[in-house]
Amino acid sequence: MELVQRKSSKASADRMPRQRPGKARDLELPASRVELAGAPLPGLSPGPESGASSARDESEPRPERRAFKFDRLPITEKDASGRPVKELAIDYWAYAGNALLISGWVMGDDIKQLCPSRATYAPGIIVSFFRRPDVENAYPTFTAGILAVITVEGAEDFSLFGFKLKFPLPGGDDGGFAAFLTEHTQRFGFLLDSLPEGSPERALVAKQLQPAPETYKGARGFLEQAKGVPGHGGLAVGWAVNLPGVKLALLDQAGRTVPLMRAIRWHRADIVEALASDFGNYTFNAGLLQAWQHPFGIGDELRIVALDGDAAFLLTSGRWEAAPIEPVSFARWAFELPTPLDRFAERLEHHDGAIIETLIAKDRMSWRTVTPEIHTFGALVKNPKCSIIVPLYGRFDFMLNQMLEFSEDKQIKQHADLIYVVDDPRIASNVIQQSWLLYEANQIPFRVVVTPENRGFAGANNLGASVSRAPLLLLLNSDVIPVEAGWFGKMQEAINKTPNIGIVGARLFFPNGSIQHDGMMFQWEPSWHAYLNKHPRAGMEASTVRARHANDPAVTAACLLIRKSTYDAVGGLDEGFLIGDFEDSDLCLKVRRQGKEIVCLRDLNLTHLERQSFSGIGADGFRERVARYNAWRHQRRWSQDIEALVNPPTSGAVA
Amino acid sequence: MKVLVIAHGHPDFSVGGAELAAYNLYSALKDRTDVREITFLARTDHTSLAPGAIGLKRTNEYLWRQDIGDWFRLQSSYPNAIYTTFREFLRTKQPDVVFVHHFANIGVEILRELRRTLPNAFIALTLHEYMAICQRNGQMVKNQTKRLCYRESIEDCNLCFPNYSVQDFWLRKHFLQKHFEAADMFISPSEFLRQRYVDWGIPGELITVIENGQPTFSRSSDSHRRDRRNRFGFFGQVTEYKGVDLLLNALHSISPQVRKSLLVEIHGANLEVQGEWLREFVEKRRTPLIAEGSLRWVGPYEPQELQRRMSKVDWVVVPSIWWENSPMVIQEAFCCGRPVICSGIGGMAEKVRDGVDGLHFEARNPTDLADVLTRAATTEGLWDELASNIQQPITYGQCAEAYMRLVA
Repeated sequence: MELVQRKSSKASADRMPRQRPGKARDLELPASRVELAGAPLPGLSPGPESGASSARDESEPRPERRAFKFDRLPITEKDASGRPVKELAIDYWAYAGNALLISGWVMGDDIKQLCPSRATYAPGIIVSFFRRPDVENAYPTFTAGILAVITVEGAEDFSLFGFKLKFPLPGGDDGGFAAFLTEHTQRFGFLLDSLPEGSPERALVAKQLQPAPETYKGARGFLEQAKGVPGHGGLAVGWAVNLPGVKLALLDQAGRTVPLMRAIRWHRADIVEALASDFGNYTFNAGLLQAWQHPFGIGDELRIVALDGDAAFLLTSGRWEAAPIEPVSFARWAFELPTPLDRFAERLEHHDGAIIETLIAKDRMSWRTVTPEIHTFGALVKNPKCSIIVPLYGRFDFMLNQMLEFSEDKQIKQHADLIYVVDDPRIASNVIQQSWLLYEANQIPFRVVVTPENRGFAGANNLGASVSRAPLLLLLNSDVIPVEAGWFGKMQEAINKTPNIGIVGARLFFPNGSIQHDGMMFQWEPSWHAYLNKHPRAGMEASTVRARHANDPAVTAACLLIRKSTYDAVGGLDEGFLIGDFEDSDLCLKVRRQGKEIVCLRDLNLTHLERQSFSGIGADGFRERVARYNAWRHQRRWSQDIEALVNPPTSGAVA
Repeated sequence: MKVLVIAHGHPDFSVGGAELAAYNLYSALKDRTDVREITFLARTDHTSLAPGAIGLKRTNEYLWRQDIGDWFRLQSSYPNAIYTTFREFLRTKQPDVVFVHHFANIGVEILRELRRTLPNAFIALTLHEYMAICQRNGQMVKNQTKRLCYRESIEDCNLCFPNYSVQDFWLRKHFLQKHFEAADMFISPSEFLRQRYVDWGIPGELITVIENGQPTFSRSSDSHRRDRRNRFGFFGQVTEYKGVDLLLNALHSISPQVRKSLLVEIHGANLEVQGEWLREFVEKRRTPLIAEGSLRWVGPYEPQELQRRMSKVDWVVVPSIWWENSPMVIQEAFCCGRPVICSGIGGMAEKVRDGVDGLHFEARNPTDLADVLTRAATTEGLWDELASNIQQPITYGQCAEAYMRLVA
């Protein structure tokens, strides 16, 4: 090991000889020049008269900017008597991305106060301190090895421990990153934490990681599943336990990490049983689920690492598998993954909510934009006043009952553009076969539009709207059966006479005659962290409820009248919900934002055959989780508008 | 006036009460002077006709090959034929009056089609059982428990048929009611059935009671005068609903001494097509009684044999376990001057006046039936008194007259 020589100043020659320490591994170090600057020591009195300046070598030309040019000689500050009080030595360095890495050691008592194992020394400078037994013996004052990561941000120099240093030019004396990998195996965690995102050196570090030894008691883990859709995201599921202070993260081959701080955790009894003897109560929340948003490919490796102090250990690894790309199938898989229900909204927010959202968006974009298949029965009404759009899915026997009623309503016979949208390929053929019989029996002209693929409530209605011929649109569920004629005309009259009304809804009854819908309002559901659509007065006898036409926050799309121009202006029904839900309140809130009002007519008699006992809350399983997803999505978009409706500002009532 | 009578079967092929009633109406109407032209259209499943086709049987009598495709909504198997063949038939015949005696086996759609194609015709529907009200064979007997059903509701019906939701039953009722709305009037052979339909939703002023007509028999009661009135006869299908097993149980519960003085004749048809349990039960229960001599298993009969067989017994027993409407066997018994012993429910209890022209027993109760049988056989003078109060049922002509009066 060569001694690192300073271009001698006389003062230095007087110093006690000391053993120059080497590095842990032998490396040739070229001699290099040092230029001293007049930067004051931290903690000492400032001023050019300080001892530091006296260490300048008069024989060297004074550097124009007073920064040390970067080399490997130690830089020393001396006190008045010439004793070294602070020294910085750089053994080797390298650039990684936009950061400069330095490996070396530092001496000085005031350094000590900075010395937990790692410190953010200054903005953009992170230093890890570690023991250098070879240096410790050489000085009575505090010494420590340093591994520093300094972000380059266009500056030409930086300040480290009071020494101003100039960023070296890349290449040249650069020892290369490889040196760091061989010496700093104990500090891979630090490197993963500090190396800039996207720098290729991260991958090199990742490659070098070793599994935790058998004796390691800081953390354990196992990756059970890594499944996702490249380009959209994936979920890592497994279990891990760690002592406090040990951090866990996902890591890929490129060295990208995702900390598991925000992973969803749950109780795994089997892990408690297996590991309680080593980890005690820290085993309680071992299950974990974490989303991964960095790019990945199927078959790529994914690991869980433990970052313990500056070290990093590999706990477990797995390979990415393909999750379904079709959004409902993806959700069917993902929602099976265990998550305590009170964490579900949080999970959607931080993990798979975004993935599902983009999968749905992509799915919608891929819907074929073909001219839809349209079948016409009877001679269509010329100049219809209102298009009635009825989506069909699963069963279509409702058509029989609806048409029996329509055939007795003169206004429908004369002014309606009736459109049935078959959103279910399984029944399309039967609907078309039956339709001519329906026409013969009822003499109402209508069209049947067949969707190219199942699109859900929003998509089916939007498709129907796209082929409608009238200036008004009435969205009507297939299981809404009017039982008294005249409702069609009344609803149109309401919207036509008041331009400020954007949507007209209708009171609907259950089969037993009690109220099914009387306007919708929003109610906070704490266990879902969202406002849900509620039907106040549902189940009540109509006679006990005051009939009034009031401005309602929202109405159901089971029977909803809107101008076609408004519908188009707000983009129709939102197709982004999973399977379907909340499209009606979403539409109403969009229309409200346009400054229009919503009114629910109550002197109508229509029966809605919805099952009375259906409620998403409390019901377990996939359906409920789908409802939670939709509620979360709806809530994110509308929380402010709903708040304003539920708690109107006192200066002006909204409802 | 041109009249069309529609039946769900032709008596040449099927011998149910409703088919006979329809044909008897048609026959009686033929003779009226105010009927210029009359046509009988009867459903058939005879394969000589293509599905949905209408063919001639004999002058003025047509057969229509039809079937029910959906027994829940009572829709036709061949609905196309309704809008083509049937429509054409109506346009050709142009009746002013249509008496629909049933839509079963045809399809309820014919009601709206009649109204559509004959907007000015008088359309009346005769109801023969509770088919539109009750999914269970139109009997208003609970599906799981077989208890009597007193009132329909969509919730109750769902309990009987869990496979059909409450919503399904709402849709069914709505569908059938909308089709019924095509008719001008409804006719029921009994007040009991009329009231059930009023409860279901037919406005009371639109449904009236007209009994089915019966032939007039010459009653030669003297030739069969006897001292003891201890002969009982059952006439009809041997089914669980007609109560044959109930009658056998009742007989077994009578003490042998008393029973030896009775004679019960069962003139029953179609035992061989019943379910196995009933056949085995009947076989087991009748054998000792036949051996004892208190039971005679006579078997089925042709319609023209009925009068003679009925006249040979004293009492006619109608132990049905369901409500019935207006059982033809009761009318036939009265035609023959025989008092009737029947279950005290529904149409039976209406047509037979307890203690006047017959006796009631507690429905489904074999021991009560046993008591009544015993009382009937052993009470001196009871038979004579009851028989003297029997009123002759209305004739075919009188029935037709009542129908035609509705048109006016």
